[in-house]
Amino acid sequence: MSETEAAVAQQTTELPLRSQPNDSTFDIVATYRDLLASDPDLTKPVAAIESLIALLNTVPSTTVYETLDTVKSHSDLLKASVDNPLPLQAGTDLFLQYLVASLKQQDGSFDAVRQHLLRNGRLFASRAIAARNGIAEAGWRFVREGKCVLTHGASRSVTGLLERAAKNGEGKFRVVYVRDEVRAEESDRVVKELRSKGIPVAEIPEAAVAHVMGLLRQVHMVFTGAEAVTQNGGIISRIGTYQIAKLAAQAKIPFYVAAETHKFVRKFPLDQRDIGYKQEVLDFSSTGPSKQPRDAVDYTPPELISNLVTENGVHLPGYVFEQLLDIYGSLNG
Amino acid sequence: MKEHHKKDQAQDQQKKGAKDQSKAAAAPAEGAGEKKLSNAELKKKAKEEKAARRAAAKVSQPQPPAGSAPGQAAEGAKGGKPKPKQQQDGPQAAGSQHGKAATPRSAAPMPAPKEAKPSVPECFSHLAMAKGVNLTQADKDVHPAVLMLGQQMSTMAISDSTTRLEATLLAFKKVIDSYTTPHGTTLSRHFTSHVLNPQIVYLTACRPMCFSMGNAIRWLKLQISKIDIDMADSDAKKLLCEAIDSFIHERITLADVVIVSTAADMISPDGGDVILTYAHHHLVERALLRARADGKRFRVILVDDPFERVGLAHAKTLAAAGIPVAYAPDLGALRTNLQEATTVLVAAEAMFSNGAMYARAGTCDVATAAFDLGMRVTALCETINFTERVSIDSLTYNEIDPERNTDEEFRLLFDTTRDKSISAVVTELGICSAKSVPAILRKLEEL
Repeated sequence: MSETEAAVAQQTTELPLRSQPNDSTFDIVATYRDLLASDPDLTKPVAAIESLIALLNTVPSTTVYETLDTVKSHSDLLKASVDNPLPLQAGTDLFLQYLVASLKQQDGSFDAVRQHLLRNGRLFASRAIAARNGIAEAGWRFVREGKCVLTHGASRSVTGLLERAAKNGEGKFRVVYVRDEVRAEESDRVVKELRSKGIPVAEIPEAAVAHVMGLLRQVHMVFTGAEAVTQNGGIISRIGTYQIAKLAAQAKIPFYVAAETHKFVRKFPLDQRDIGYKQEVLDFSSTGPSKQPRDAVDYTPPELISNLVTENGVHLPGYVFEQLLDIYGSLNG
Repeated sequence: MKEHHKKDQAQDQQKKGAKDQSKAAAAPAEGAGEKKLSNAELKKKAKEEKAARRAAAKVSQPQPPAGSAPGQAAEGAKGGKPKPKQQQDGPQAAGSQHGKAATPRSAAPMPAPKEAKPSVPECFSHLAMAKGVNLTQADKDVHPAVLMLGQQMSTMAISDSTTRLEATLLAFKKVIDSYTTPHGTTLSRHFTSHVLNPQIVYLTACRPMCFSMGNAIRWLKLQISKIDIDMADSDAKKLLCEAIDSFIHERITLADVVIVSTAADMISPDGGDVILTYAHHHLVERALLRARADGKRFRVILVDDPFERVGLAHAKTLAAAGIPVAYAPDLGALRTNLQEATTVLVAAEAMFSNGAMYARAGTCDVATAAFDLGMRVTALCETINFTERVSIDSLTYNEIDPERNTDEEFRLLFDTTRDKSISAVVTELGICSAKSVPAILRKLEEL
């Protein structure tokens, strides 16, 4: 299959008469960054999908194989442009699968699919926002009266869920927010946002998590977001999530993850060594302060996760595998 | 049970005279077994041997030489013929002489003289064991190719699950080939009950079926039942043979290729990986060789099965391919070996739907110890070996080692590893966690 594709692509690029789509005119990376910057509601996978649709907009309608090939090569470009390719891979894989599936349905009438995609260009984005509302609907009942939620990071799914819970009963639950000193600005923004909804928030440093969890019935549950949900039901998330999950498991506090299903990705990390890209957290130096990577992530294994809260409802981590198997048929990416 | 056995033995000893009395407590069944073969019995045995030899000769003549290596075939054909007895295989050989002892669940083709084997403790009496079915005792409907295969299985010449499955399907192809529908009936109604079932019963008597064989036979019966009753015999046979071929191709050959390359890709290209593996399985061997061929640098620590040193040849093959191998003959110093390793790579005989792994005895020890040390444990398994059954211990499903089933030494062939000690299962559908086995089973049902 891929060989024939390659052969077709080869042929089409070698044909002198065909107007060639010039890859250099469309900068997918810039498009992706613009999209992310312009719309704070977009997640990385959805921004990747949106930029691929924008790409289809500029590329003239040619053969199916050529288009699939263009999409694939631009997906790779996009993934190569960021440190952590997993969230993007979730989006690009999904888009490619959607494209192939709809081509099969439409009996290969490529133009129809293309027109449909272009007309509904914002569909993916609006669905993503709907998904976030779905998560809030599915999960807000966890946060009952008198409960206290511990969270960290700046997941929009989590803040959305907490806001939905606050709508039901203002001031009836409390939040412990784990402050990230490296990202003080972001932490302050999230805390301010939560307080503006009338939620009492206590900020604690990362070093105090174990202590706070050890206080009797002061923290009832942990909610975090995820950058990507891996196929075994684990999550790739902001660094620090893993240790909070471990501490929560130790203290027997349920650990919930709020994540949209479009963040499910075909990647199976076996442990911390295996997050899918090189990340230099250890920087040994005898002269100066060691460098830390920006946007570092860690991997939280499914054993530490009580439930995934998705727009399709609350599920066990094993749900991810079933969904991915349903969407892709096989998991050999 | 043990007491009972001792009593038996004591009586026996008394009959023979008390000269061995002092040894009796420690010693054993083998002495007793050997003694049992007194003059009359020896004569009887010789007679039976002769009959068996004749039958074997008769059967092996029309046998097509195809199948496996000629050496194996010869061995298989001779399997029914007892070898000259040595001291240690006395009781066991006697057991096989007299037909079945602990009877298998399914009806054996010939009602054999029943005799409770005293050497299998009662707590293991639900477990089956591979044992040579004398060729004279096999049902007359059993196809020569299947006869030979049964002998190979009972002597463990063909032992791992996937190889057994493939050989079985190929033998069934021959059965289908040589079949003609009798007048007044149709293939789809007649073949399964009258032709296929005796083959299956015979194979099961030789050695209990493995899970993959159960899965494949269920599939084959379904295919047979689907055949249109108006279809011509030759067409139907061709259709079935083609279906079997594509089944083997998809579920075994291609599956193995995918699993091997996925497993090879999991080895770090940067070098420095130290892979610990247990005994020998062709999937593990192929994955390691493939990774080496891809130019990856890694070391292997091979812990061998102390009862069956299949790892020796494996170690030599790996070393010949340029992989540094450290060989440990048994599970001693397992923790020390594990502390040097970065990954444990094993192959499963079957996966239960609760995520438990059924594999060569000793795998559980390795996996559990590795898990305790926080290492990755990767299991390789084709999805044909997945079963809906659930097992939480090593005793519900198992097999008794046909070579070690006496009072002196007793051993089971497999053990069950719990899902939490397995980091990942590599299948042809991709990598999954052990907990996801039911999801794969459900997916397979849809296909």
